[in-house]
Amino acid sequence: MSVSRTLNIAQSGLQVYQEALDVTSNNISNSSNPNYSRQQVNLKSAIPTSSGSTIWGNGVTLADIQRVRDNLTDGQIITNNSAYSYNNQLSNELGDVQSLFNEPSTDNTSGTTSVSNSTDSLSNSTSAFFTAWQNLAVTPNSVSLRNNVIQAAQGLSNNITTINEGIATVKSNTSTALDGDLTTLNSDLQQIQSLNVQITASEAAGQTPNDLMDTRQGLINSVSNLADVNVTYSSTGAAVLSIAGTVAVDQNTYNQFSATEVNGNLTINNANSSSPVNLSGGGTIGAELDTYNNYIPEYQTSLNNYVNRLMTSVNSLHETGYSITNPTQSGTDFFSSYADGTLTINPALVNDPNQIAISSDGTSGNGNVATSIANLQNQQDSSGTTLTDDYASLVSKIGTDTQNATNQADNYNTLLTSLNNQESSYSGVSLDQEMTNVIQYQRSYQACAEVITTASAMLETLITMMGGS
Amino acid sequence: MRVSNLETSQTFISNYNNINSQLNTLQTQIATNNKIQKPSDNPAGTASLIEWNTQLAQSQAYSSNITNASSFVSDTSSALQNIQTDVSDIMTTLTDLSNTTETSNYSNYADQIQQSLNDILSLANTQSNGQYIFGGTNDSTAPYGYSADGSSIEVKSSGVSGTQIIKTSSSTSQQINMSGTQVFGTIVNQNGSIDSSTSVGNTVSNQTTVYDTSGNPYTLQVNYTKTAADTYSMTYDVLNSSNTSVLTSKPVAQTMVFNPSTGNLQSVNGSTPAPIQVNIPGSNINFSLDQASVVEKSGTTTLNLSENQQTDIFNNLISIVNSLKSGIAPTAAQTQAVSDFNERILNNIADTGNVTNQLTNTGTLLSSQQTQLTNLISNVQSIDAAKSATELSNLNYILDATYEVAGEIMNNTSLLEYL
Repeated sequence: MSVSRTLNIAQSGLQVYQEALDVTSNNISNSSNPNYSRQQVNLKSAIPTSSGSTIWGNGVTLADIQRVRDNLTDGQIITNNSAYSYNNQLSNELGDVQSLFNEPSTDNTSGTTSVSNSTDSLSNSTSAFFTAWQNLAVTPNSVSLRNNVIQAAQGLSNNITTINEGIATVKSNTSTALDGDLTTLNSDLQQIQSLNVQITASEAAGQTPNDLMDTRQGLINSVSNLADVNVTYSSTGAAVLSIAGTVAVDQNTYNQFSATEVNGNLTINNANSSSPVNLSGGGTIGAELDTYNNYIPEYQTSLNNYVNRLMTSVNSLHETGYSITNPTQSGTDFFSSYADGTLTINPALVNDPNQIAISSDGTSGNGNVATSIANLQNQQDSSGTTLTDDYASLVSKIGTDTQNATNQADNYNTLLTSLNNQESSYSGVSLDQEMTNVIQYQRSYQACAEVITTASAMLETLITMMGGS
Repeated sequence: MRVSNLETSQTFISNYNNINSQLNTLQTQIATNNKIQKPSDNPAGTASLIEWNTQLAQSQAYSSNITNASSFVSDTSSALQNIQTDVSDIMTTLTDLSNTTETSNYSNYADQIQQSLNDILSLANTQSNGQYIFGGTNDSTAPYGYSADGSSIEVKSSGVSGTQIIKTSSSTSQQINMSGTQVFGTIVNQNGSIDSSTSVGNTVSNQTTVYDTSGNPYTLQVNYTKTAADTYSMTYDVLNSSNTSVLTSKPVAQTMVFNPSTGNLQSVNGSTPAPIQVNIPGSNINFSLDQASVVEKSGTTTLNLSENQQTDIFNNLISIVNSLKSGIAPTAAQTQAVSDFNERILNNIADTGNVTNQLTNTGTLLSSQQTQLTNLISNVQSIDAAKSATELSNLNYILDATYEVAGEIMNNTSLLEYL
């Protein structure tokens, strides 16, 4: 055995612990990076040498730098990310729709429900509309009460227009958000494919591209926020993503998605196929598609049915009445149309409220038609529902859909928090642990240096002895 | 379990967001006194609130109807009481007249009665909030006035018999007016049934006696000619003792349509059946023909005309005044007509009292209903202030504790502190 062996063994320790400190330093630097997976230094003994019957150790070498990651938890996070993002986005979109109705309407000054003259919601403006008819029925020839009916109808019409415009805005915003999400999705897929190329090349060269894999994992998580994605890994280390049964990215290619509107519905197309893909039901893109194609049209239809029923039933009664003009008029509609989200009052009545036809026999003091119109609010149709029932069902449906989405989002968020904690517990950086490693590696390095000093002293002694002879 | 530094901060942020969200919701609820800020907070509760708010609004509208109607009925009652005072004065005058043989004073009596007549005429045109209360449903035109030659008082509008009905609940209504016909005029009721098997072209007739203001009899003849299934053309005529029509122009035939299943009178000239005002000023005849009770039935035809006619008070008084100015004492029939009118007015006053009571009672019920609805709304919507305040205090305490723990763990609990 020679002193130089001692020096070489100690030198291997200096090199390895220097590298170990580099890894620890990298861990500490990335301790707040959410996509970072801590790296762990794995050491092993250097290949020993034998001399006679004795085997001599040759120090320490760096076996590898391991990326600490739990693939099982990653898979669960991706699945739940998609479900959470879908419900959270749906909750936001439907929340925007429900806020348009301003229900339940309240009087902020007293904290109690306002039902008198308030027209801040469709239910209140509808009540105000029918109350105006009720009041007019008592004093049928009052011009001021006839004006009140017109004003109440305009308040009702304004509310309907505001809600319809709001729904159109939510639809438009949803479409814009979808375009933005698709742009992000396409960019993510392109980057993942690029990282796939780099990672497979590195692995083929026997390297461990841990940071590239972290970056790719972050992008995969981003994709799972946008759509329901299935992730597998090829034998070469490439991530293969498929969305709605269509390959989104593999080692060599990436797909690109775009949205087009067909017959009022948004359809998702992809560059690899002429057939549209169904992205509804998962991720923010799924929520935007479902909001645009399913939820809003359903609400819009219910609202239109409500307004059309109100308009038709009021008109059919109003047509039977007589005005208090000279000569009296009959057969006129109260509302002239409901089109493009606007309920229009017959302009002739707006200009001359005396043309409001509420007399059933042509006499000015007869308000029977007004009484009948006021009763419409409580009148059941063939299915046994009243106008108020129809409206309450619509608002309740929007509320229930929003509540379901919110509750689902909360549930998935709780699960995701748990999974992220689990992942962070496994892959995240603990500064205490890293500082312990720093001390450990520092001490090992210090000891190796001390060995070198000792070996150096030994060599010097030998040299002195040789010089002395 | 291994705990990373990122996990520690993420857990704090998650918990902080959760508590802050609850605090924000609670603070909004306390500030607005409303548990339900949006439908998704309680979809079923929101639907109930919309239903109850609608019911409350309707109930308040019915209350408003009652308030407005009460004023109308009160004005009606006052007018009737003033009319009754005038009629009492006339009756006193007539009693005085019956006790005197001095015809030279008849002119003074005539003047007194004329004055009362003018008062009654003025009261017959009383307005309440712009409506002529005895105008029936023609309430925007003064219903009564002197004829062009001043010899008689006639109905100036197209009719004074309409009824004004208000809704006092979703299922109940209340007539609030006393029509001019009810107070001052005459009603001839057509009752009975028309045989539905009558062939098209056949005519069914009926007759009764009506009287002019002087008590002279006339014959009212009503004819129904079948024109189609369930449809009849109705005409009438008023004949004097010589069997000659006193109508200056023949009335236009009216089309009466009966409901094929119930047999009830469905419409007259396409409108809801209403009494026909028959006003013949030249003959001092003024009455209403009410056919609402006529039905079409299979089988025996039994049509009846029954009149509850009493001489109309205005022209009866004019007749008395004219007689007195000519030195002629009122007839017993004329005096009796005034007495009958007085009794009718007293009955009408009692009726308005009943209507007032009915409106008051309904108003009380509505008020009770509104209190119940308000309580229901409050139970679903309003917060429990004590409970909310306690929850707020508890959440603030938890938030403080969260800050404290986070500060302790993230700032002080680290190996770095000991190196």
